[in-house]
Amino acid sequence: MTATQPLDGVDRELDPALVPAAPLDRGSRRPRRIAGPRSWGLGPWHWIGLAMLTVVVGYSLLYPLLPSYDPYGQDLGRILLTPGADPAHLFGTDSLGRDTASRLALAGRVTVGVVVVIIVVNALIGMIVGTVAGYFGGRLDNAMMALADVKLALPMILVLTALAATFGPSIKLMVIVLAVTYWVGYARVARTSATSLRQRDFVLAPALQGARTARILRVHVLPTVFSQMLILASTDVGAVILLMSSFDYLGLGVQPPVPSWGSMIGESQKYLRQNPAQAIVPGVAIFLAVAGMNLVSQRFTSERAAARRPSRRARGRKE
Amino acid sequence: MTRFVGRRLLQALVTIFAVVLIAFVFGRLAGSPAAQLLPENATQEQRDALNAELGFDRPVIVQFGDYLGGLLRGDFQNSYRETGTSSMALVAERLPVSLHLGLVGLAFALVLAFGAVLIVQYTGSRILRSTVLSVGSVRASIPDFFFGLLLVLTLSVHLGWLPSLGNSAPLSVLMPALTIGTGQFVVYTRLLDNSMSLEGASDYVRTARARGEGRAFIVFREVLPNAILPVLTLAGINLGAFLGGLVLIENVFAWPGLGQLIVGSVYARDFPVVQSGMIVVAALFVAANLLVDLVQGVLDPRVRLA
Repeated sequence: MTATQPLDGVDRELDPALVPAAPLDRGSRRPRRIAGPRSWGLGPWHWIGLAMLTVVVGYSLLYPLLPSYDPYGQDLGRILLTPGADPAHLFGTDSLGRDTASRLALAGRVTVGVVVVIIVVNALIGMIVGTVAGYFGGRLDNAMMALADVKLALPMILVLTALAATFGPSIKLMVIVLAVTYWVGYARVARTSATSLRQRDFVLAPALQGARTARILRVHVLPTVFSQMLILASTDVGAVILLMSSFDYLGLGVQPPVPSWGSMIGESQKYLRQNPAQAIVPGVAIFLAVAGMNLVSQRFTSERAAARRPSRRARGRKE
Repeated sequence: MTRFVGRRLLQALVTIFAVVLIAFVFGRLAGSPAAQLLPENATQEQRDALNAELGFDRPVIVQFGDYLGGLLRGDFQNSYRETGTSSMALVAERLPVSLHLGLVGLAFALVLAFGAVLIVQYTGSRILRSTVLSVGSVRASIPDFFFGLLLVLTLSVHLGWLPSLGNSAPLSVLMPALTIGTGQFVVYTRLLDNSMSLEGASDYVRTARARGEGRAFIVFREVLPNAILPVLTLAGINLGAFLGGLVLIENVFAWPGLGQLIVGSVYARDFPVVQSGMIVVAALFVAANLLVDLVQGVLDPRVRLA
């Protein structure tokens, strides 16, 4: 059992192999910024991340309020305008003459919705499966780990492609596939957490007093696991945006005419030479969203991303 | 050691069987391929004949049994599109093309990551370390397909140095490999840096320092061998994501590899090819992981006991 830091009620029991250490030489740990109420514990990089996120999310939410918002209207007389060529089209137009600025904003809204659904569903499934497997151990635990291995052996893109060919690609299919497969990472973290909690005094004591298992899980185990899930979810947002945009790029996710950042890049690849801005603008939006979210999530954890998949070696040692 | 190897082999077989099953189920979910293979005005008799020929008129369990039996005899079924050609022959044709790209990309990643981390650890420079990790973070926030497009835009469209698509020119491997390499660079830099920093804080390093050993000796002879083990493990786990990334990159750069073949076959409902392709990808993954585990068992006796 590694050292725990009871910091703002969050139990951070990490795999010892994944706890970040100071650089080789200086011997001492970098002094930690102490969270003060005034700064919310945010360092300069967190603020930069927050600013990047605000730009993307604010733009997606507010631009549709403008009168020039029209993501679907085609104008074949004004196709492939470059940004600034026409004041009515801030970022130019695509190959059908649709306003890129409007499509960018709508795609941002779609992204936010899809990412929230995927992460909430996965965190919930992962939390339940992982907690139960970790708390009870045994056969269920082994079965879950075996399932995780099979899942890791199958590249998600292939699975989604195969299903898309069968049922036809749709945003619903993408969300379902991601929702039922992505939880393995959450389950692993929940499992590690539940396994160690099982032996702690505040969990053993009520068990000794005859509390029902359901109550122990609900009152004593799940709150800790839940806060871990929140941390993991915050680091996962960037990864899910990247994954989703890859699927959209291949045409397996959000379907036309609804725009998505990934499909906007995919479509503009055909006329990359004439109008590279049509690919660059959504690319920058993805970058801002992902980098911004990654910077912000470092507020909750530094090297937590690496802890998503505890090493097999470490797993073996515990069993 | 024999038991350890035996158990890992058994696990590998179970994983492959699961993938075969999943691949088969996908193929059957789509229903009979008659609608795709026959002309639109085909009669019901022609459809029935084709279904009978392909075995689609029998119960699914029987079909799966036949398929498995065929696999054991080395019969991977013929491609629906290119009749008379074994689906595995089509896959085997594309496999080296993908491996070429994957290995060059992985080589880029490993050389860059090990070079950067070893320099950082050797100099102990904090500025250098945060620079390397920041560059990694920036790259990690750009989707691979967009990074690939940016490369095409600068190196090919603007500067005209490199061919942009396909694999006809010898240099065309550079851009896709660079895309994969920099993406994987991020993963390995973080892993190795984390692992080496952790080992660097352990007692045997302090002892070595107290003995008066030089930095080079400590970093390369003491820390590196120990730090490599966890990196190796995660490298094996990372391989699934790596293979998936390869599929994407092949589509961005029109690289005629396995990924393109599988995606193309999915759209053409050529399921024997899809199944064979998925089996090969899974086998690659399992084989690499098996290799990683065995190498680890040789290097670190503690793993064998786990």
